[in-house]
Amino acid sequence: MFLLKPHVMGLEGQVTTPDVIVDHLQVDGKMRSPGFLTHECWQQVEGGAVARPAYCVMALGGGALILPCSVLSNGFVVVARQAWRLANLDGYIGEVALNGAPLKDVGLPSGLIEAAGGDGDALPRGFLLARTAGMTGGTAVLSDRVLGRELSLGLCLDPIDEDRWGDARPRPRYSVGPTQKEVPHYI
Amino acid sequence: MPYKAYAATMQSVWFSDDEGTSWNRLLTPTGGFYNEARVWAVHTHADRPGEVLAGSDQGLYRYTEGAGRFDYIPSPMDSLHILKIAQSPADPDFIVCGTRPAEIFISEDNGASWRRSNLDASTECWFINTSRVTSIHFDPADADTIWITVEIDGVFRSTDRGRTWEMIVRGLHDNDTHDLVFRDRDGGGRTVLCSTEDGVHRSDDNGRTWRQLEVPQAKWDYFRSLKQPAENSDTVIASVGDKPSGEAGELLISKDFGESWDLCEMSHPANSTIWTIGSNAADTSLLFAATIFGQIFKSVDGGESWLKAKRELGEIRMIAWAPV
Repeated sequence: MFLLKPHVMGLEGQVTTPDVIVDHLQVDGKMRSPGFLTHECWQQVEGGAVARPAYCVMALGGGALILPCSVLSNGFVVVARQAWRLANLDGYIGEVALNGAPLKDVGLPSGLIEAAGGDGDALPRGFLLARTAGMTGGTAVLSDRVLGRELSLGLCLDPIDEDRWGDARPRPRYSVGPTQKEVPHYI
Repeated sequence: MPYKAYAATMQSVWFSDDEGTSWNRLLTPTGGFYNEARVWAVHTHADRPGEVLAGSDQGLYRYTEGAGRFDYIPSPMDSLHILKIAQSPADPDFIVCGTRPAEIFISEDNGASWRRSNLDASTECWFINTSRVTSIHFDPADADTIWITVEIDGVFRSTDRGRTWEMIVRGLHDNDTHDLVFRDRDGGGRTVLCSTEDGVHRSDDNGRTWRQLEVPQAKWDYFRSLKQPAENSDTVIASVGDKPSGEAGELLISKDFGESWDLCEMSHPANSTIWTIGSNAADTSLLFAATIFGQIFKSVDGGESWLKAKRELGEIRMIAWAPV
């Protein structure tokens, strides 16, 4: 289970912030554990890790959301905390592009939705469906050419074998506080 | 001068656009912010009128007057508590955030990218279990130097824009440090004051050593916020309470940078420790102060006297005001 915390940008600049439980995740039609989902844009990864820009859709009470996301080769799926709500997902999504590629070329979500048991814009509750593009890179940008707006997810991938302290990583320290005296470790 | 006041509370950020009389939150459907988010920090910058940075348990947010909403700023701090925010006076794109656990995160591009600083603060604390950053200050004389206080671990200073830190606690009676103010003298010489759980401490050698000040006017030792209404002035306002969170508090004013203190005149007794004082260089006579349990006081005479607002909020962690 994952708690999606999107900022849903409305057409007139309003932002709603529903917190939504995701209990089913599909990436390119394959079921994955929602435990792979994260909002954490700062990721420590092994050398050679690759990110694939993607978009994902999820149904909410007021209409379907579309969000940029990124699928990492280590399995994690990073989802942006910014989303649009498309009242007419099926009819409008052709106007949206992912990193410049029209979603009709990347792959429209209708097939994913149908495979997940949905119909048209009506996704089953709790499903988040992701579709990757045939490209790699740390940034996923959804652009809406009609309304001239963009949603962006930028990843910061830090190599896991790099130590920010160099060879001088300190030991953890224990502070006592206002007792003004030595306190023995009590555990 | 039209201004807004901002209060960081355990129920989001409250705004006042009528000089602190009434307070409201943004509308949930349009405001971009969960109205029961815990918010510890609100921060404004003179070069960014109408902009407020807010540190919460949901991440870092930026309010802009034009948009009338909070926008989320992606950062590595989403799962931490963002307790303090500072922006370089010379460069508002240079943002420093302090968190619980005690870590420092720095952006030099207005929040587009972040680095975790190598702060070696304590990783466990007997008294509060988890140490935390209680204040962040850009050095008034050196744009690359940053000072912070950590509860409970002391005073730290970085002279390289937050890359490395030095712990400077020699002479402090107590490492439960809360706030700092600076006074640079014409012709050289600097005095720094540090508020702690055990009184105010003074350094005359740029933090190398500290000594505790006698403040007989204070009923209690628990000093929290220090504020100079005007930058680099001799006048300092200090907040004191019986304990955290406490049941009583008072404000003191010094006009000789801590040599002597007087009690401020307050219209009502404080219901808990006065946790925060908000000032702005745009008007050095106007200040706000708030107790941790929701009282708001305002001064229009540079901190000499304080009038309690009728409106009270819930738990308040920071109060600020800025021209709009």
